[in-house]
Amino acid sequence: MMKKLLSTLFIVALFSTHGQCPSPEKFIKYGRKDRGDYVHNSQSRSGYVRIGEVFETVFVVQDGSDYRLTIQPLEEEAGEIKYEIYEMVIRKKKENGRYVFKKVKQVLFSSAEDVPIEIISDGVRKIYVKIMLDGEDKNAIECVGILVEHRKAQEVGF
Amino acid sequence: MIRTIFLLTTLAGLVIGCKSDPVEERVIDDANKKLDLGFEASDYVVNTFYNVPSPSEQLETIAELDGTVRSDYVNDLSKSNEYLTSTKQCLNFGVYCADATYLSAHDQNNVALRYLSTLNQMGESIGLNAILGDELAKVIDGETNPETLFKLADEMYLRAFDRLIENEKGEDLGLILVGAWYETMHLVMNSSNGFEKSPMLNDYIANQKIVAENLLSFLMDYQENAEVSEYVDDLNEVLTIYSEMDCTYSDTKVKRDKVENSNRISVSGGTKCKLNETVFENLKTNINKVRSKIVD
Repeated sequence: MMKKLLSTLFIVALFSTHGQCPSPEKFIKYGRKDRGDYVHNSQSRSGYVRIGEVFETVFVVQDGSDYRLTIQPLEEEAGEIKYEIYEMVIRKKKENGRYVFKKVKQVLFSSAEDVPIEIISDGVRKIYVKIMLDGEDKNAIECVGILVEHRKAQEVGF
Repeated sequence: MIRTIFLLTTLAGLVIGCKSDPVEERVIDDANKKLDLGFEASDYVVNTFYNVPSPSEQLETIAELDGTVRSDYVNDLSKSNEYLTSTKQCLNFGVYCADATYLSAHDQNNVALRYLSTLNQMGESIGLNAILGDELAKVIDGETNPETLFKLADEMYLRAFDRLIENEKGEDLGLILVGAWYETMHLVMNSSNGFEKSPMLNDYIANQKIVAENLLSFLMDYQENAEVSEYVDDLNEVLTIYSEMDCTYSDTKVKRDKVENSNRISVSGGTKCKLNETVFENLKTNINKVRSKIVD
């Protein structure tokens, strides 16, 4: 419990020192060029994280919009970004001889590629993104940006 | 016949109608315990950051839905001088952001412009000087197409958001988000022609449950602040009302593609919730009550 509290305080403090870690659209390359018809979304985040620690951001995808997510460290050599995108879904499960409904994690996508991911949804969803900056120096603290962009939905149906 | 019964039984297992949030427990799906990138189900997440869509993102498609434009339902600009406490100023900065967006989404450009000008002045009282600066002056002077007002309203919100994050004003930001969300809901609910009379708009209102959940989670980080805590309680009431919606659950399907310079996932299915008349009426009453507390 204490470890969780200290870690939480630490990461909140790191995210609070935002002035030294620019907003993601200022350093993520797709935020500066090649944006196409996507526009900056207020659900973007940036902050300092420790190498090897896992953090999450949760954003809402709205009906009628496509989304693009780009996750990069401020310094390219800081390490490798690994992330997975998931949703909590309702599943029917058998427990003690009877069926119950439970919220379970369903991974939608996972990657270590330094390219954006477009998310097209048939409805409103709460999307979880679990992120880790992997690198040699586990004591290093680096600035990471999660750029969220959106545009009016381009495609209908699946 | 047996085959038909089997198919029906299988389908019934996939799509089940019941009230939302049937269980509180969150478990990790066994199939996802081992992931290919080194994440483990037991990986400790040091923190989770919850985000809320901006008013412009929420109201972008409002004009295409089946409601009635109610520009008389926005908050009166003359009240802006009556908000003397920081809490009221933050809450109503959010309210006017949503109003400016709603008005510009419905091509009420002259009125929207007045709201943006007021927001620019109000920003100073909460430490956000000259948010729009020259851009607003150009629009007032007629040098910019008034149709850009919707984008300008979005820009106003984004800049205020970024500056408050930079200045470590999480409580103020939380209150702005609260004001913006309640005003958005107030405008949307009163734009609805009634339960079952505006099905598209009612679906939109049902989907706002997810936004309310994220807003509540965002506020939880600042609930030691008494003003923020008050709205944590209010949002919990909203979610209690939403929990009585009628929901169906089906498998979430994911299609993955590689497109030029990016990966793409298309997601369909999952939980779909619908308002019923009780939820619609209770939400409307609750939203109007809390919105009155914010603006009056």
